[in-house]
Amino acid sequence: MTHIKSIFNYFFLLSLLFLSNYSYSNIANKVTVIYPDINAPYDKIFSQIIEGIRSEFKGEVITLKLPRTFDRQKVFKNISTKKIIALGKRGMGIVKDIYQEKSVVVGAFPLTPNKISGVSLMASPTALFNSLHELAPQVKIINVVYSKSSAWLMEEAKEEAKNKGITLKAIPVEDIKMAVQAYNDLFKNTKSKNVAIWLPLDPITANEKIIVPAILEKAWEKKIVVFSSKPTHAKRGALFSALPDNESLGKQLVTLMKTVNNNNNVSVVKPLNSIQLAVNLRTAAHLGYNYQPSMVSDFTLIFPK
Amino acid sequence: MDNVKVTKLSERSIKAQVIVFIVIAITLMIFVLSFVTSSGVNQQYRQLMLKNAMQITEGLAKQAVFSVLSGSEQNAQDAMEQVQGFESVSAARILSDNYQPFISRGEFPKSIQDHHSHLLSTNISVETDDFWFITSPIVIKIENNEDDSGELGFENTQVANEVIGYAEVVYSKSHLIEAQTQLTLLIALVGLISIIILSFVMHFGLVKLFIPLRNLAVTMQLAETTGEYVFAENTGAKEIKSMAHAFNSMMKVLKKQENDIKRHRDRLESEVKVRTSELIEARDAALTASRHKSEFIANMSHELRTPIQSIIGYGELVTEELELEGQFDLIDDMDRIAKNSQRLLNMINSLLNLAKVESGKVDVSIAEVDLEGLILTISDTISPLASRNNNTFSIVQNQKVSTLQTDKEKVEQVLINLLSNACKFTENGEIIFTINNSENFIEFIVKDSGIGLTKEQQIYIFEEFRQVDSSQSRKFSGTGLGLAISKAFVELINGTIIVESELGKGSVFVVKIPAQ
Repeated sequence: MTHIKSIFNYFFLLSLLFLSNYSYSNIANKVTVIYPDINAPYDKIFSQIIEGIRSEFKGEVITLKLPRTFDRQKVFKNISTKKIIALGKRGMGIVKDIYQEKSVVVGAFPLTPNKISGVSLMASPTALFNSLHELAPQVKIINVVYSKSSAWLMEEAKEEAKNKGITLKAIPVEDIKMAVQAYNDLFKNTKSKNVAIWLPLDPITANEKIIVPAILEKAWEKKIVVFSSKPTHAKRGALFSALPDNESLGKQLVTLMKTVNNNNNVSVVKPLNSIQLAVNLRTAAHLGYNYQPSMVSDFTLIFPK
Repeated sequence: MDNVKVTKLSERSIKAQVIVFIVIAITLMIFVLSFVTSSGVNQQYRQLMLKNAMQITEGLAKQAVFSVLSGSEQNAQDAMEQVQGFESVSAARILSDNYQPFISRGEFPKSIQDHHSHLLSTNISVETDDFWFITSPIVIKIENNEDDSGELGFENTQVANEVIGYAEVVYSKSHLIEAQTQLTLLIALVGLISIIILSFVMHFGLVKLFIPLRNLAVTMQLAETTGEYVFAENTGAKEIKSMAHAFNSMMKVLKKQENDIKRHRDRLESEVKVRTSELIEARDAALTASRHKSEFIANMSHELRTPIQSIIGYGELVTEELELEGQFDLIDDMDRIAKNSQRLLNMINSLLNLAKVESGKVDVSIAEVDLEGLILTISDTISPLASRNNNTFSIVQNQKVSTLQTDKEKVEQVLINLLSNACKFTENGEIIFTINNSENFIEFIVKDSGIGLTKEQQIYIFEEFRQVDSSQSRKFSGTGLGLAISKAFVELINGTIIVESELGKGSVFVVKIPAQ
């Protein structure tokens, strides 16, 4: 009788353990993707990222679309999973308050290393320098003016430059005035043709209204290569700019989430490794570059269209 | 002068008045329209130029950001040259945030050289009649993409826009003034041409419109001047057709009426002719009868006088015989015969006088008459008559002449007749005989306080055989010929006789005869 009772207790405990494991694994295999509800063509970026997430993530992907205005508390109530992938500025705005309670990674946002993990929109210097080497092989010096928002990339940049035998002149600035003066000095002192300017995704040193037009104009005059981490700069006259490979970004986010989970939610911010290229062929021609058709076919975007 | 003009205009044709009115209305309308259009367009043009000036200044401020931040004047040169390329920009400059000149082009008016505005947006700092002085702050703006592309951007880190200097532009108004003047002149010219063209169009249109009215007026005038029944053409506008129709109807009626009148007149004329001939015959017959009557009366009177006079003569002889024989009781009877015979003779004399007057056989013998003698004769004759009815008789002589040229017998007979009538018809009263004279006339007035006459009686009293009435005739004897003969005699000597009387209060007879 005692044996029968012991056997019953054993099966009972086994059943409880099975049920609790089933429940945990059911929650663990779900991820909520929070992303902004925006119009075409920008909505495509997020749908492609979500596509990448779906293809990489083995569980259920729940999407949560945020309108322009929303009730934060309602959004919090609707998040039932522990894993969250937040996309864009609105997604970042939501997870800022809950990143300590959940497993959170952020994408499609120019993230800088802080407390939240994610894949930044800032292109990885490695990827950029690889593209530069491919498109403007004679460039030997890269000038970059950076502020604190893009400073975290400089170590990697220096390392990569060193690997490629390129001199990286990185000039730190604190504000726009300093940035302008730095660029002014740069143009004054640059006479060699094997010089390039890297415009990082930086709100100060790549200010769209003040600095970018002036730099593109002067670089055109002096035939200096300009490459940028921002997609639209190629259209405006930079030789090339980095476009995120959205689907890869989605996959990268899923991978990062696993890493973060495995490291007890330690913050990890990675630059965008998978990039595509937007190339301005008119600028290239002005600089004296003529690319093979096979090479051109690899460019995601070509300007002028 | 204005009244003259107004009068002249009001006397003009309706066509002229309408044209003047419409031309004035069009002129006023186009003047107002031109004024409003000119003001509106000029205002719009001013706003446009001002907007342009502000955009130029704002553009300079935007282009100057990099230059000011870099501290490089070289960087601002292109922007300055670009701004100076605008014709109306007479001067431009960029100032640092502490108003130190960074770069300047053109000559700034002295009044604004040191003028600085603390503006946070592009605006007019100074405005004169000649220029706008516009200032735009050079600002480092926050990058804040509100559209969907901003979803991929940074979160806003900069808290406010930072002013790092000022762009200032002097924008001349000379082009604006020139353009406004040309525009105003153009609108005025277009307005003037419009007035002229519209006036011509209105003139020709109205002239054509009023032709039927003018024709109608001419027809009416022709009808007025000639007196003929002319008919108007039934053409033109509805109202004019109605007027022409009414005029034609009136002409028809008038023509018909005139024909009727002519017919009536002809008939009346023929009737008048018939009546006139009948009257002439009647008159001639009456005149013949009257002449025969007068002749008969004259003859009969003459024939009657002879036996009456014989009777009177033989009566007197018989009376003398009876007196001699002492048969006095018969003498009274003879007196009665003599008296009635005398009365009959008087009546016959009166008839004879009247017959003579009517047949025109009375002779007038004008001679100098002693007025005093005349009055004395009358007084002697009338005084006994007056006393019979217990009347007082008085003579008032106001005349200033003693003689007059007239027919004495007739004047004497008239006055005695009037005074004897007064005595006869007055009892216990008074009879006043007054003589007045003026330069050319002598006036004899016989006034009594007798029975008087009614208004009707005063009218017929001078007619033949008329006494006031039969009862009176019975009370007061007489033939009723006295006043008719008196009137006939007065008129024969170119005088007049009138009567004024009131029943019961007496009568006044006035005889007025020429003194010479």
